[in-house]
Amino acid sequence: MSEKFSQITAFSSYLPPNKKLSEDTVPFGTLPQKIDFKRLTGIVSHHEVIPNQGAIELAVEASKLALERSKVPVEEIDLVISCSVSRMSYESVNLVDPCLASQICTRLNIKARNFDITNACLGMVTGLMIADQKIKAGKIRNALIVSGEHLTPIIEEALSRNLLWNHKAIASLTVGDAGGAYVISQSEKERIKFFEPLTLAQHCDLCIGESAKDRLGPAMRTSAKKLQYAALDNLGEYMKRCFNNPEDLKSHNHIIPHQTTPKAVLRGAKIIDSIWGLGDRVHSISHSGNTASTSHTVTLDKLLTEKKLKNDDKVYFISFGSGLGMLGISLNLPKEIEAW
Amino acid sequence: MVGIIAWKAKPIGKQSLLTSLKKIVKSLCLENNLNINDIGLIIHTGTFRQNFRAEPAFATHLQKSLKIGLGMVTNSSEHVFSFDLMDGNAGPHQAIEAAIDFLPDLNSKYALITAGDVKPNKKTKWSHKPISFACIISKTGRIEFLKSEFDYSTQNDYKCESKGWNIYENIDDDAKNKVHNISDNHFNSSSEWLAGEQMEKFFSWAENKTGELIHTINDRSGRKSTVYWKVH
Repeated sequence: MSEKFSQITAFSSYLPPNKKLSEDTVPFGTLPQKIDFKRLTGIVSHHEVIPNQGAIELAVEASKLALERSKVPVEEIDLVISCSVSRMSYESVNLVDPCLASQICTRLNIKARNFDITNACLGMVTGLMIADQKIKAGKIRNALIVSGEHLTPIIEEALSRNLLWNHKAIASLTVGDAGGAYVISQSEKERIKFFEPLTLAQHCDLCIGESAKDRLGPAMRTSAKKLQYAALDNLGEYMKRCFNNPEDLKSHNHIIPHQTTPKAVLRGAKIIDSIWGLGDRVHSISHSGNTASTSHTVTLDKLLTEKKLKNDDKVYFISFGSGLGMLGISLNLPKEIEAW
Repeated sequence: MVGIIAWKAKPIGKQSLLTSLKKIVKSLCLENNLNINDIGLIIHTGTFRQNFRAEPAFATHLQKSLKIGLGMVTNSSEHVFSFDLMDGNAGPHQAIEAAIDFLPDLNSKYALITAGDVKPNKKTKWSHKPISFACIISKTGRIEFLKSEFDYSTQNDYKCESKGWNIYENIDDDAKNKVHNISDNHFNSSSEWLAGEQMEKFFSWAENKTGELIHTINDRSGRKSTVYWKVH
């Protein structure tokens, strides 16, 4: 029996049209001690849903484009995994059950097996890994990995607090709404490799997102500095474990970390630069905020729009998620993305 | 013979879901002579979480409370990977298969699957009496996983939504949805039970049987999942 592999046949993201500038969302004077939000984070803007858009609608928009790019007919999608942190509708209704993936399938007329993953910002890469294993086991042909992150109600919740006393709400101001999707399919050659996934659960209480205690909708509380240092303190060693041979990392054209804030990405890039001298291959985006599990798709689409991606380019994803989860992926981009 | 080495279940009672599952997993390992540090993957499945928590995954809290894989990353450190998987009552079937798919990539011996639900908040009206369930999967399990089938072609209009602390469920409370069809080798359960109870009832029934057994879970949404097992 020949060995089976998988590949990304398409990716896509969807940013809702309602663009908000950071200086309008968090005007100077909002943060304590006269801290300027834009200087602190590097975030220039983010996007917010328009009426009647929630987690499902964002996911569906991204999925439509990914399916179109992949040219895989919906009849050949055997698995759909929804991976979003947010389960919120536009009206702040929490969609508990059935799983979001089943509702996304209904909207897209996909009759496939489906389920949801919850793994914070690591959700989509966890979903990709599960789909890869099922493809390698010969259980499925193609999978749609999707996420719709309707996160911006937590901005409003944070702004309703006195941030001097509720400093753990400040990280909530960095988020943005987005949808993301991948189509992952069978391949004759290895075009995607997953490194060891791990959870440093000693840090699991540093970022908690749940229903707000005294108002409708969600709230998030984050010990941002501790969480960032926990990730950065382990980044170098994790990547050394991924790449025994430094040349392996150097073979990548792009390094895309999880996009918390441009300033945090810059700190990670410095670590990568100090060990491998590849800081200039690390990409950061400032136009969308932290879009949680969709952040890699949003970054890829931005690079595609800027014509910085070439057919078959090799990309290294380094993902983080509260928990604290880490997962590295090495992948070749589809061979025809320049025509997208 | 990839399958389940051992399982354990108990009603959650008045405990938190975390306390309930921590106790179950610890005694499960102790009673079966399993080294808890040989667990390399935790997948939790369920529908209702405390305060409708969206992040991080419940499995990460369980990992922390079990004190496994908590060190810094070094060139030789051993770690655990934890996440949640949700698919209504059928979540355990999906989670077990996902864990089995993970096993070839794991450096460790075991994967831990937990299932359980909790009343989201004191203010929430909630009628369930959930069972917390845990099982250990390895490459040499006594209850062998043969294959799975998922019939998701039909879906009714069931929805469970929450607004604030209030839950709205348009559940079809018809008595026919609470009938379990159980024959010699086929345990076909209704949508009456939440995920943990689905597994507890099936494995209790399967405990004294041998040979090939079929477990079908009918989800409230009208979807159906089936796993084929072989008990050695």
